[in-house]
Amino acid sequence: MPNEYNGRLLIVDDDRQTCAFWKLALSEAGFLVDLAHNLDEMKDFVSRYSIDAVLLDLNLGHENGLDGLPYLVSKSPLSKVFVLTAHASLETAIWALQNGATGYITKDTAPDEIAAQIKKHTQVPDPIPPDMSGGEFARVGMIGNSKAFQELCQRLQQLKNVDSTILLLGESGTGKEVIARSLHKISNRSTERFEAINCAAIPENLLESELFGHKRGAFTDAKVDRKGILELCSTGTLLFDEIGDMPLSLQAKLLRVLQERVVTPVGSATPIKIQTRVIAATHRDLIEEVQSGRFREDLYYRLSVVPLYIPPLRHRKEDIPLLVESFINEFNQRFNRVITMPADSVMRRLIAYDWPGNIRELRNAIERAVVLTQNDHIRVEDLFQHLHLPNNTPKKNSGLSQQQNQANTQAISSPAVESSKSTPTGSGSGLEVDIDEKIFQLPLTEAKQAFEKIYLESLLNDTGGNISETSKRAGRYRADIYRLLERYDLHVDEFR
Amino acid sequence: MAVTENEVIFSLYKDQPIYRDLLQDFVSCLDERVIKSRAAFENESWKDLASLMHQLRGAAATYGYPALAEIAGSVEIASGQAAVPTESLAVYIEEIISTCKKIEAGMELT
Repeated sequence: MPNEYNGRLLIVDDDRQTCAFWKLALSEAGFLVDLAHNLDEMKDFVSRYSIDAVLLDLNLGHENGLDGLPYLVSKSPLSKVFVLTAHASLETAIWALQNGATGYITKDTAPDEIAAQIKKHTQVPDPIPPDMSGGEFARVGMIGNSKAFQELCQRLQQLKNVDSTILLLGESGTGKEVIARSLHKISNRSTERFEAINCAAIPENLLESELFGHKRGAFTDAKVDRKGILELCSTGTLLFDEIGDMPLSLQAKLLRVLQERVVTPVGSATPIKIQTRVIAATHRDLIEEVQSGRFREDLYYRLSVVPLYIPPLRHRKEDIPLLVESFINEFNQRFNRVITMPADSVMRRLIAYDWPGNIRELRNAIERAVVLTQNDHIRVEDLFQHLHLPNNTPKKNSGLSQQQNQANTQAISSPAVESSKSTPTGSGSGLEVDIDEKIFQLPLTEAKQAFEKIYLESLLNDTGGNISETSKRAGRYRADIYRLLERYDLHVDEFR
Repeated sequence: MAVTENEVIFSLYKDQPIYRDLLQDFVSCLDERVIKSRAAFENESWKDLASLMHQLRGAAATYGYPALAEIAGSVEIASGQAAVPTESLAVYIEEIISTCKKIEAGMELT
């Protein structure tokens, strides 16, 4: 195993032997390599881990790898995507680069050359000098100048070199991972490894091995010794995202790790000392989780040594113009566009809206607008298309109960954006469309999301909100179902 | 019987010990890939053949066998055409089989 660490890589290719070769070659070059053989597996990895680069095969058997590109660009904006193919095709290369890919690699390229190309794009910038003034946070990706933002930066300054556990609290989409990453980048650990793990998206049986590592033979698939992420980040920083969703059995083990600063790999009796800086994040009310018995009280107190509240975007609206400018620049570069800043009237609408999905929703709206607009400026219709609820037609064949249909029809008949003249005021994050007609007018990603939500509602309705049964029928893990519930703002109690 | 140089094909990575086990695995699975491809050809399942050849093309290029990648690429393109040239394909398939044999012979010598 090489000493250097160059980042976490995901290879998406349907040929297992090709994957095995790249895994070995790129692990030798200092990358931590994961493999996915289709787009669903790719999406699972992207939801679980912070991935520095993705090698995406063009031809995935019955799937087109390029169909996964918009998902990666949208859900994992920090990942560099390299399209991988058996042969060079100029047309596809241009399409891929215009749609957010960083590079294009043919499979006959020597491994060293591929590693060099990936490293060139994923190298961590030099650590920021400690005496840097106001621009320090902007340089690590935090944008804003509101009072709430400045207070947050002040707290981060105080905490940057403190090794105490930090608990980031805030609504979904407020940028908890960006803040954790920024904290790492300005800290005295900045040259070391940063990893993020999504506790809600990893099945319980895999999470233990991911965190603590395992010895060869510890379980059926453990063919070699593997270090856990806590050990790999021993001198760096590890973010436990969605800590509130960690299974209770693992909470006890994590508590021991935080107290004793040692990990014991699965199947081993030898503890290993670690110095990992732990940051935890959740959108849940952990005190409520403790009271309901879903979260250990002792772990809560251990994690919340330094709690840090990340304000929702509606409490820092002064930052919206800066964020919009930053996102437009980012997507202009990515999609090779020259979209200008929105007109004052459009900006006022952006500021008036409450952004229940916070910065993530704003970012997605800007991305969609940059991609969709036919001109060099952004229109209100492009920005708020995800809230556009176009007609009052009752759903057909959606499999929803009368009560559900009624609820949806009510949502449809009170659209958040009725026309470009109105001010958006909606607060829901779901997509409500007529599955027969309007779904075909949406971009593929949004059409899939719209269908996914309706599908999930239908299953929950049929199962009376039984998560185990729903996950069984959907052929997905329970954690996946919970993740979808959160994504579409669905509450299981409403189906019981 | 002695094997001449023209009858063997080596991987571009044959001198790198870390790839040795993987190369052996790849070569030992060539037979299986050939059987599946031949079956697809005989059943005139052109879509499956194109898909199998695409995988072989990528894997062969990855494992350092450009000659095999090139022929597999030709089969992939031919089997994707509207009017599939079956006679040419038959020749290509034979060529793939003989190339795989040369690769297996090369593996035995390394």
